[in-house]
Amino acid sequence: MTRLEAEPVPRDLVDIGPIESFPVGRLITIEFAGRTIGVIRTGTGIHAIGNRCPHQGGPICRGIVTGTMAPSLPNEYVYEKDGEIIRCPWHGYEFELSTGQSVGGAVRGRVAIYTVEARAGRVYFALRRVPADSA
Amino acid sequence: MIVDYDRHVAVDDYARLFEHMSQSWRKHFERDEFVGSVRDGAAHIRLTDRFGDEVLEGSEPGQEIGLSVAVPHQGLTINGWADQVAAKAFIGALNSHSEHVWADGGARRAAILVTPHDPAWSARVIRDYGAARQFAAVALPLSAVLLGSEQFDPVYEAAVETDLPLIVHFSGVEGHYLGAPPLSGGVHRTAYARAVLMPQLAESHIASLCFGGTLAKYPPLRVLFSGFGFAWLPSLAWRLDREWRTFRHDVPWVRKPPSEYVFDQVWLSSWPVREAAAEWEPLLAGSQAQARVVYGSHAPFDGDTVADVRAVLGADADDVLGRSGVLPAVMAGARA
Repeated sequence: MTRLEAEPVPRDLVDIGPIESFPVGRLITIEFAGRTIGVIRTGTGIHAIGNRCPHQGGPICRGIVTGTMAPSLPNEYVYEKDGEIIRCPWHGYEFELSTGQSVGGAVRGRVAIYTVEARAGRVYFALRRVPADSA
Repeated sequence: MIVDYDRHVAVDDYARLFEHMSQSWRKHFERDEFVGSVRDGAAHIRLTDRFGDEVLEGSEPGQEIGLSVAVPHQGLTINGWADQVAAKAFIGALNSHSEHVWADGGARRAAILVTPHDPAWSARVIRDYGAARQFAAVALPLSAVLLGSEQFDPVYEAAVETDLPLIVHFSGVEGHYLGAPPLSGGVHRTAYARAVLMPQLAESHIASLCFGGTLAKYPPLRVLFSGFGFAWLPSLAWRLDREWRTFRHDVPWVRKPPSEYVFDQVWLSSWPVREAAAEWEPLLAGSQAQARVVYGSHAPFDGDTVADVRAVLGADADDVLGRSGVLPAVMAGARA
């Protein structure tokens, strides 16, 4: 999630590097307070996800970033959301990078989404979960 | 009301069908290898239950049956006929016989026979008979093409348009006649081995209806798999959902877990009810799968009576015997 740069930086945000360190479409993992966090810039903003698939705990940050197929008529494929989806390396379950929600409601639960911001050329992170209704 | 969705009917002499054929077709069929095939009964899965063993024409549903759906099983065997032109003349005659003899439009109704080898023709037959009160369902034999193939869309559209459920019942020639679907693993030597394995077909075609998108495409479509048993449904539903979760992007037309389509649009008949072994198997008990089972006597072929169902299922028997989802309009009296 991206904030206006004029807003003050919340006190729990930590500078994790220049924005150039986070190329669009490439998930970068960081270690923070003993946890692995995946940070990625996409066409819709910058996102930070936990490294645990809600299905069986797979290391989802090692999954591929991709798009997905939209609901369609039989035998038709409509590819969408390119770069906005991460697919778990264990069982292939797909999740929205912006919300952590399972694509198509395939799995109960969601990938943890953390607070991350880009401002003044820097990326700031907080180990603070973003509620589902505001992710 | 007790509904028997699987009451078998048959002619004891194929010559009885001649009055429902043109003179030309009658002359074509007037040969011993056709007329005599009832006597020989060689095509049926239970070789000891020859078609002619008893006069099925007189096989009436018991008095406790409020509504029965006759399945003319001789017509199902056309899935293995080499001559599909003659097959259509044959099941056309059987449909006419159903209309005039086996069904009365009240407590005794019949399934319209169609062929999987000519969906366009089958759709016309469904529409021709769809409004006739003698018919309450469509009997679609299985071919080697899975039901989730869009080539069957004309049949599904006609069934939805006429508000008739599909009844899928094996003919007995599956697994050894070309044109009928094979059974997995290979060709078994005996009819009883094939009979044991018939549930494979229902599982396979239900998976196809789900992943092919048929059930999603036609939400009003209702499909009853009859004679295949039912105890396998919970594990099938679980496996369908598991694979869908992983490969949803390969079947984006399946918009929710496949089991939800099954538990909304698919039913299984209860025969053989002893598959439930004196009570519902643990996986079935209280499950959504249990609620998909409707009564099918399979009579007179070693069938289950109402008493058999009550003996096995106890207090749950009434739910199975009177479940209305397959024929809601008929049971509500809206399809007089």
